[in-house]
Amino acid sequence: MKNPCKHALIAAALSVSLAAPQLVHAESVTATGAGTVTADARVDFRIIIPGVLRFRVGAAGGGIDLIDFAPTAANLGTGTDVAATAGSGDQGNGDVTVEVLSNSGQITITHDSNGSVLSDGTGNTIPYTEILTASSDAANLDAPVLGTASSTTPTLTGNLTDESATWTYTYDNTLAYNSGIYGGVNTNGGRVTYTASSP
Amino acid sequence: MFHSRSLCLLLITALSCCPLTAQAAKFKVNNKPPPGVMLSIGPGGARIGEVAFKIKSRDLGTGVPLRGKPDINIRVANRATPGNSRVAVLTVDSSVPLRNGPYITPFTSISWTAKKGNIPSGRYDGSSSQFLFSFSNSQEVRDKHRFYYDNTGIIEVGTYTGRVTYTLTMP
Repeated sequence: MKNPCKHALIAAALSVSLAAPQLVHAESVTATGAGTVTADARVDFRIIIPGVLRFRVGAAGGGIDLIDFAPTAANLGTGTDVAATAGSGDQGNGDVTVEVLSNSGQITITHDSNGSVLSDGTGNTIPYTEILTASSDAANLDAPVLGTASSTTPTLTGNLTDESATWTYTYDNTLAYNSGIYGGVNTNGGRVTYTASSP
Repeated sequence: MFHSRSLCLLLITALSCCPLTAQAAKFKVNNKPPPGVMLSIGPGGARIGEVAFKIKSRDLGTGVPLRGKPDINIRVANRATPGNSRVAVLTVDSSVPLRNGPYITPFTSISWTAKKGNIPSGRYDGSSSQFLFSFSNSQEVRDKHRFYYDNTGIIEVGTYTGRVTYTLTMP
């Protein structure tokens, strides 16, 4: 016995499949029809972004800059700031390049010179507070004050930090310290280490 | 006895009056198949292909484009009667950016190169209907696309996901 209901369903299905336009969603599809025929296929993308923190003070790469001050006898202890020597820093004259790049939240820049001194090896010292640091972009990438417990926080945009500046070191020259050579290349307290850290 | 013979004759007579039906198959060659298009991207079937960019910390934001994997096969075809030639157009919708929670990055940072050049190299433009390629019937065109992430800056840490939709249309 024929099933009129079944025949009706097949007829309806055929009439739908032949209706124009055709629209099919799949990743490998064939669409046919009398009118406009359309086939869609999709591709997914995934980008895995790692956490990153890049920090540079001075020369690029692994070099460590030396900042030299050589006040003259005539101006020693006058309170007039003394610029670094021409060969100091990667930019010269006490200027160093500073860059911080991160996608990991608010970065804090600290240093290890809090309470530290430069010595001449014979018991005479100069506190790090005698060395001043000025930033070319203090609003976005300020320098911490050497010899103190200060830290700075570069500008954060969203969750990103991407700032650069020039930090310039000068000698404050507030007192006439004993003659001698204080500090040096990783000797007599002559090295400061800056640290940038993310939360 | 007579009764049985009469029944037998009656049965034979009745069977001989009924036409015997034969089992047969009919074949018909349709020389006017309906117009159609075929689009296959990625692994084919119902699976959606995925291109992944796994970036190392040291490479992030260097400006050196980074390759995604795997390459994606693309195959398109159309069919129409010779007397009614038609052109099929391949477009792509990349208007919805890749998302990582509250953070997004646009598809304009992704480009591709075509291995054969049949379906040209290009870059997503972030629109809902970017023209890629057109071809007249009846052809099948294949290519393989290799994708690159621009990597021109840093973005927030995490995994960004997004989907583009290719559409092959034959008006």
